[in-house]
Amino acid sequence: MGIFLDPKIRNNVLLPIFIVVVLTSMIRSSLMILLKAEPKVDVKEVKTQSMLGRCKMLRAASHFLTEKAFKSRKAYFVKKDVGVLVKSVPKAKDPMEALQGGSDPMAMMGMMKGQMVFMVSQGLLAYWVSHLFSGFLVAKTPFPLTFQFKAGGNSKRRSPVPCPCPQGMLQRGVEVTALEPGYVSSLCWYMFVMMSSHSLIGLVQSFFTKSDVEADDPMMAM
Amino acid sequence: MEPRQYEAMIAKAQSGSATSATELLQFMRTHKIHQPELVLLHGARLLKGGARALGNEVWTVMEQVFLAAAELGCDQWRDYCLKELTKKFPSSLRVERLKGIEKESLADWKEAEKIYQKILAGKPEDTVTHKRLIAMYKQSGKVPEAIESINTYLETFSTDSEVWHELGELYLECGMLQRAVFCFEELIVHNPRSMYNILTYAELLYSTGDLETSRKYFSLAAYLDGANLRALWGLVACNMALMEKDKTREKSKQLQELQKFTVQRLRTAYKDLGGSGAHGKPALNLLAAVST
Repeated sequence: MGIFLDPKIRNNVLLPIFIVVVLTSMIRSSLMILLKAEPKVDVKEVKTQSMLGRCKMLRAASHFLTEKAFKSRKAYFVKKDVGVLVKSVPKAKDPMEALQGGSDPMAMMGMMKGQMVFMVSQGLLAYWVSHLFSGFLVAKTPFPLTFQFKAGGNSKRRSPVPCPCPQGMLQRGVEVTALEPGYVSSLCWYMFVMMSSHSLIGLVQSFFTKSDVEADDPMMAM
Repeated sequence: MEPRQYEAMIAKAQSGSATSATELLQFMRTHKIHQPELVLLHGARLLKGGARALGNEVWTVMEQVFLAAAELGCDQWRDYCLKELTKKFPSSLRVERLKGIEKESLADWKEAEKIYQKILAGKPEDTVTHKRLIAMYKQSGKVPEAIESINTYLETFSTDSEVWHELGELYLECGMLQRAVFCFEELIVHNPRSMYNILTYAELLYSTGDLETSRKYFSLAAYLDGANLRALWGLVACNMALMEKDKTREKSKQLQELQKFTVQRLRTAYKDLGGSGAHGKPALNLLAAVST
């Protein structure tokens, strides 16, 4: 005999969490596109890179050229005092500099921006859920689970959700030890939807684009 | 890409369904198929039929139709698409480039140049615009400007073999063979196994009078593909010129042997091709003349 879950909980907790989380991740992906700054290209960098690339190719294909042609190119690159690589030694070759993390600060900024959007939205949502819906049991798994999931679940847990409380992976926020492990608490439901929302959206989107293309076109499958 | 797929798609788009027309346009974009009439035909129909059905693709289709219309001189569609695109993306560099193309289609080279230069001043790494500028110079007949522009391009993007090729062709056009030779050397460095590169380089060397090196490169081409007629004929021509120039005994003998061998190879090559045909016979006759 299990616990009877009120349908109102489904309507007012389970579905709202689902919808809000899915919508948030949709908004977030659009926001990421919006915030993604145009990658700034350093022309000088490109120049040195392609010059080095040209050197590399010259070295690899040197035996296909006549001696004169090869020597004139070699001179262009490395002749004493006048070769382009001698005059302005490419800095990128210095491994220490690359190690010290002095790489492009703008690139770091771009990553930071993306991370910030992610973290802020995640934090707000988690706060919202735990504040409003803490202590709710929102669903029950349609199959029975062993008690391993509850108590021992911490050690063998496969879930990527870090879950330090002893309540196991499905009942975070509900401190009832005797509860059957099949019940899912609101906080865990939130985690669950959040983790899977990305692939869920991808799936739905792929349905939309596919159905457009393949609706009246059996040839495409061939 | 399957061989018949494209034709099947065209036939299907002909039948009038919007989806198949969209697909056809998409296919042409991804496979870079250049048929502006088709694009204009189907794209215009799609745009007329209602942009809503196209969804987000409408802007890509519009750009495609614009390019086709600009090329074919279909002014109304060109102006309409550009107007819509400008309205939608007022600050886009891509639309700015399209404006340059519009000016090009009006043969207003000065204005087009101004637009491209402006884009390049703000974003010097924009290779597409730079190439467009070069193409515009070439189109308007300003070869020296085109060459200069290519040179500034290659100073930064020196690994772009397409552009090296273009530069080589332009030098050829002006008859600056030595410089063309340099460009084709660069192409060989990029792809030393390309028959086209090796053969063109060998022919260029032949034209500049560097017969000895030319012979070597023709031999390389013949080595890579023993039945390549262009390489074998080049070798024959080279040998003849060398024999003409150099009458000393020792070398001449070797050359004659090489010549004999080449002629033999050519004969077998033509035999394998069927021996007859439109140019098989005269070629064999010519060979007989060469070998005597």
